[in-house]
This record gives sequence, structure tokens and C-alpha cells, in this order.
Amino acid sequence: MQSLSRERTESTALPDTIGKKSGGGYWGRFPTVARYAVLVLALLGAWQLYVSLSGTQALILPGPVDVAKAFVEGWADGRLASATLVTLKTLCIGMVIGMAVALILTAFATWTKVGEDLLSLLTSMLNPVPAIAILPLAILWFGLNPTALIFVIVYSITWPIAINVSTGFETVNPTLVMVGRNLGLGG
Amino acid sequence: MLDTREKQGLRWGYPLLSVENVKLGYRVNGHTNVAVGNASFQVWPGEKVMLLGPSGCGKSTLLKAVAGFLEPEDGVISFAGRQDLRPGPDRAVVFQEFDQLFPWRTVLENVAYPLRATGRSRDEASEKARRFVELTGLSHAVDRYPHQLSGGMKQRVAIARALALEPRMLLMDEPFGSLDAQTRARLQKELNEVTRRTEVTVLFVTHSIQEALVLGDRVVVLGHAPSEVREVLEVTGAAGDLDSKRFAWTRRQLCNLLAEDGEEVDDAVFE
Repeated sequence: MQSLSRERTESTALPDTIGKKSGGGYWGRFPTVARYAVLVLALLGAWQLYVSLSGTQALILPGPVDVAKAFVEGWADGRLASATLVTLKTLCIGMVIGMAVALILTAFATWTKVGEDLLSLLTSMLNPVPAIAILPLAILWFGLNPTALIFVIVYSITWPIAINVSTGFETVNPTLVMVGRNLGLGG
Repeated sequence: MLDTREKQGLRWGYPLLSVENVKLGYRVNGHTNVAVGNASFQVWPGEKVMLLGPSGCGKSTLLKAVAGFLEPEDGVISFAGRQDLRPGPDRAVVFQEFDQLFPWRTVLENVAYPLRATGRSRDEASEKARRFVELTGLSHAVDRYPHQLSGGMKQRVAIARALALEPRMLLMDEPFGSLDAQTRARLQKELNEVTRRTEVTVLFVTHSIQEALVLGDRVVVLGHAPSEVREVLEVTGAAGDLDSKRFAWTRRQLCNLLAEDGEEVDDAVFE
């Protein structure tokens, strides 16, 4: 309150804080990193406090200290490393396939009206269905192996990529498109 | 004293651009909005023809048709003897918008890109680009990006880019429309200099009488949509002496032609 009224009397120009919530007062004075660090520590502290006081079993809800211990142990004996590698591999394959499918669909959509209608229909029908709902189907079709996972990953990224890329093409500055055509460029 | 048409006609024998009974419209929701009802005029090599008319009269539409972006509903547009007109670098266009430059490239690269896109080698394109950048007075800004340029400078780059293609005709769609009066006057003068030196043929769209008189050799006056050519005036040299009777007379002629039918002509309304 005090700082706002001071700004008003000191300059005629509108201060930057107009339109924003009050600057934060005392808390807002600290740098961003410090503020977030304090909040994170407070949350961790609350979590640990609950676990210690309520005596919940570690199997149900471990405290942050137990989680940290497991984390260190996992890296030390290589379990986490190999698991992470497998996950990364699956993700990469899924991403590459997903991007390829999306690009093909988008290219088709940009060049032909049929493709545009097809893409619009597919994305509006399938994008709202979350990938997690497809997981049981994927397991049914491909079994309990990485292929099912890759299928789910491909499914979850294809639609957003296709939507974004086709929107990108549609929102190109039309003047620049005319400049390109003026030079004789096509496509 | 031969007028420009006759002088050029002796050299060429036929006009560079011939627009005959052209009708242009936009298809909106099934029915066509006619912008240009029936336009006919010619442009001879080396001359600067202005398309003058009120807002919405279809002059930009006519320019786009000449550029090849639109097909006429009726009538014929022939350019250098050809009638099937697709967009191409022989009719380089300078648009009105400031964002016609590639924002991710420097001034020099923006001018050089069309040359590369139309087949020149990297060195040739770069050297030519430098020459035209210098011609438009931007040598001090070759490495700047469009967002670092003022509006007038951006339009200069667009003009340099179009001229570097050495087109048979330069099509300009109110390129100075978004600029302040001072910059506009300066750029008009520079454009006159540059077109005099390169001897390029120009088709220029404007709604300003002042601009038409300063830049043009001939002015094609269009009426309201669906427009027709009201008159074609010879204006070479009329703007040379701003106090001359000829200038006042020509200006009044244009004012009258642009005024709506029945409306009293007010000197202050038109620039």
C-alpha cells in the first residue's frame, strides 16, 4: 500500500505495477529463486512432519527422507540407470514415429482439401481421448511389451503435433506467402 | 513533342501491359462481389502509370490481377504478349504492409534471397543485392534485421528487393500508405530518382492525388466499385513546378474525377 502511493506522487507516468496484483509486499521483495526454495522446503517439511507424526507405513506413503535414500541407492547399484535408459529408448522411438505420422498427415492436410477434412475429423475425435484410455487396448492388441507402450506414446503425441504444425502453416503471414509466390515459388 | 506512349511505341510496337475490359470480383459465400466492373488501359515500357481511385474501388485488386494472384472474371490481361499470367519475378511486387520482409533475415539477405530463389549464384546475388541496397540509400544498415528498421527503411528494402530482380514491371500497392507525410515525400523523391536511373516500368496504386502527380507519367482514374476507368490523364512534369497553372489544373481535374457523383468538391478533402 505504502509503495503504491509513493509511486503515484513521485511520477506522472503510470507505474509498472498498475493492473497487476499488489507487488507482493514483504514476500515479493526476495529474489524468485529464494522464494521458490523456501516454499519447496516448507512443503517437504510438512510432508515429512505428517509421515513422522502420523506413523503411516512406508509402503503407503514414504517421507521425503526415505525417498531420497532410495534414490541414492537406486543410482548406486545401477537399477535406476538401466530403467531410465529403457524408458528413454521407448520414448525416442515413440517420438520419432509420432512425429513422422503427424508430419505426413499435416502435409496431406496442407496440400489437399480431403487431407484437411480428414485431419480435422481425426483430431477432433481422437485428441480428446486421453492416451491412458488407449493403454488397455494397446495391451490387448500388442501384448505386455514395449510395442504397446510405443503405440500409446505415438497416439498421445501425434494429434497435438498435427494440430500445431497445421495451425503454423495456416497462420503464416499471407503477405510473405504472396512474396514467395511473386518470386515464382510454389507449394 | 511526342508523349511517352508514342516515344516508347516507336521502340516496342506494342504495350508492355494491356488490360482489356477486365472484370474482377471476389467470391464470398456463393455470390461474387464485383470490385472492378470494366477496366481497360495500357502501360508502355519505361513509363510510370498510376492507378488512382477512392478506397475500395478495386485498384489493389487490379494490381493483384496483373501480378497474377487473381484471375479476371472477364476480359483479358496481357503482359509482354503473354496472356496466361501466374505470379512471377518479371512483375515484382512491393506491398503496402511493413511485414513483407522476412523477419529472420538481414537487410542484405532479404534483398539477395529473391535473386537466389530465381537461380543466381550466391556471389552474384550478394553483389547485386549490395548494389541495390546502396541505390536505395541503406548501405549503413545492411546487417540489420527488419525489426531494427523504421517504416520508411523497411519499404526501401522492399523496393530494393523488387528492383534487384530487374523486373520488366514494378508493381507497387500503396507502399507509402502507412508512412508519415515527411517520410512519404522523401521516399517519393527517392523513388523518382531510382526509377529514372533504372528505367523500370512502374504500375503504382494510390488514393492520393499528390502522389499520383509527383510519381506518375500517366494517371488512370478509377471510379467507385464496380469500377470503370473514368479517364486517363497525362501528367508528366505537372508536379515539377508546384505553382504552375498546369499543376493546379491537373489537380482540379483529378479532384473532380475522384469526387462522388453530385458531391461538391472540397479542396481540403483530397491531398
